[in-house]
Amino acid sequence: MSLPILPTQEIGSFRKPDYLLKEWGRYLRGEIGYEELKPSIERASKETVSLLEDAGLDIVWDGEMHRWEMYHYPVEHIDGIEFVGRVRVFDNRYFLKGRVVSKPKLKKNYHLDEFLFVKSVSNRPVKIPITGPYTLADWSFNEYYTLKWRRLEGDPRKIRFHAKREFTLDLASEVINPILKELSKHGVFRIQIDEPAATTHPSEMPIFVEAFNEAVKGVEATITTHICYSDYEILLPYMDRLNTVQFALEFANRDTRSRGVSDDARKGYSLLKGLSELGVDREIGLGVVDVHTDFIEPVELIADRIRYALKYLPPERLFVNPDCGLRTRSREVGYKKLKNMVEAVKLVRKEYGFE
Amino acid sequence: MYEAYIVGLFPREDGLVIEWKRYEQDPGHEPAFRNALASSLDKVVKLQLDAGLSYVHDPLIDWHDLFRPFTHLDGVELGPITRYYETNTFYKKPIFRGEPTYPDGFIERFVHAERLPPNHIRISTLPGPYTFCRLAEFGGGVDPVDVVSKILSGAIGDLLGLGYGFVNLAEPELVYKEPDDSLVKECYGRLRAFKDAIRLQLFFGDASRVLDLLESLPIYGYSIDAQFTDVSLLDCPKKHLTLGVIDGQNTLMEDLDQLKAKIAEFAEGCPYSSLGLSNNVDLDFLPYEVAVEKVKLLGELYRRVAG
Repeated sequence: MSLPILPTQEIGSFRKPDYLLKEWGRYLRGEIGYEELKPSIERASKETVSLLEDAGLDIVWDGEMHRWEMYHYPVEHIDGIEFVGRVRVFDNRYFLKGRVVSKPKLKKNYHLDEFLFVKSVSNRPVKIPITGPYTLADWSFNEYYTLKWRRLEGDPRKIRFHAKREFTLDLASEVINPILKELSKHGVFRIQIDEPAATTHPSEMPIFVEAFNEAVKGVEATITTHICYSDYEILLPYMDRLNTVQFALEFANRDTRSRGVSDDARKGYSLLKGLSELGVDREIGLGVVDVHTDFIEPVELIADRIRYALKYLPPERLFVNPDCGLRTRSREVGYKKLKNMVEAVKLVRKEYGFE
Repeated sequence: MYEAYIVGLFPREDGLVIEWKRYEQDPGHEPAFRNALASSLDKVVKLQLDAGLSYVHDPLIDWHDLFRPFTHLDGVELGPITRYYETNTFYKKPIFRGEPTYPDGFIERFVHAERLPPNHIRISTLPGPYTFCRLAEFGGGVDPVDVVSKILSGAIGDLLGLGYGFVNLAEPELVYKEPDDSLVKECYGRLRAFKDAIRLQLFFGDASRVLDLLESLPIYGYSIDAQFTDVSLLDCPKKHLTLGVIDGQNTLMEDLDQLKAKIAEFAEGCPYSSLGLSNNVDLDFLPYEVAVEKVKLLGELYRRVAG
């Protein structure tokens, strides 16, 4: 499938319509089963794909309507990890966290049905986002492997490291890799491995890289990755070691709203200079709209962000996307942001003669 | 002689989280929220009493993060959501636009002295000055050490005035990275007036690397994080020591026999008049039900080692 220069894409999640949120609530409270939830999921999935296509994106997904959220959904389908209770993320926001109690095993390929459905309702290339092994491990309490390594080691730091490594690698080989291989067989265009936890523990970067590569080993589909709200300075030295063609990163959240392509105006994009200097040869998914604010970035501001990126990256390695999934914004705001993003890309394509 | 106590923020039970969300959406829901909060506070206090702990820690379940009360001072703003060290928990960075003054009694609004039993020694946690200086943002012309030490002096003084026995100062920054010794000394020099009522809580790093620095500070004692500090290799400190042996970052329950043996071995080579036992990091990193079990476990450990 060929793509235009500066392809536009979403990252993953999009706000669920109210009717679906209501049905998900009923499902999570055990009031309805999955079969009753499914029609609402499919309706919302179809509507969201249409909405993203209408916004003009070149590569689409369905906003993760099939999933409650990026951790809950996979854990529901993995034997060996069980939910243990809610843990604070910030303020009064909590997430249901799991604990690993035995070696993780895939119950069923939880991404296949949703992929086939989205593919069937879309006219554009489809990219499926998948929560990566390191993030799944990092967001779970590690009971099983800690207990195992306590018998072999005395130093608590070594216990923690080895227990994390083994847990993450098991997730990569036993859970994620089989999912990716099966999706490949069904003609997926691109698979995006989401690893927001990647740089949380600098000393565990080797685990992150090893597990990522283990997860994608032997997978024929094109693999990309998304890492957000992270310390990219920690990631930089490891970028070349990851078997991915693309890093979709968050920049707009760190940037100013001033116009122009000066370093001061575009301070959120300073990493690009480092990438260029280091000779990182992967595609960059450039986050150009902030998903944590209702401010609709004007077309010209987004265009400036892309123009700035073009100072450091060749156009054929530049993709354009929001910083992260847009689930925290209303559908209306999310749509407007994407629409402006697409308009900005059109403007830049024309300006640089990419059309 | 041993003592056992918990430190840091305690998690909210699900019911309180729900009531809080309802209150956020509908201010008319405030009475129900206040009732839920009071009931939750009482439960956490009772939990500590039932576990037979030496002191009762103010639960602080209504603090969104360690720094939040201080963002209510004039001249301090709520900043961006920021990752709290190597966790998946975030705090809102306090941003000092000016030099706020600490109004007398300010911290009273954020603690729960009235719900703590009068016949037990009460304790509470505040951010340590060094960590506060490092994790907050300060506008031009603001001297972080000066402003933070004034605020913390006010808060510690208020807590002692409310009958709190000592104040636990959370200082992860001191062990997470190589500390700036002179800045640490300057921070604590400013709090010298409270030296007998200050204990540091050192977590997310190996405290054995900074023992000399700790021993030089005007403080009563400190606790170490046994997940990062190998207790068996720890030199004997002169100040009061608390072993943070109950892990607030893993739901896995500690093996009490193993812990008891480890503590006994340490105490044998390092005779103390008093050795503390505690959680290493805030129990807020755990689900409520698990945190409750960990407090009970700490109580059981205390009974076993104290004989």
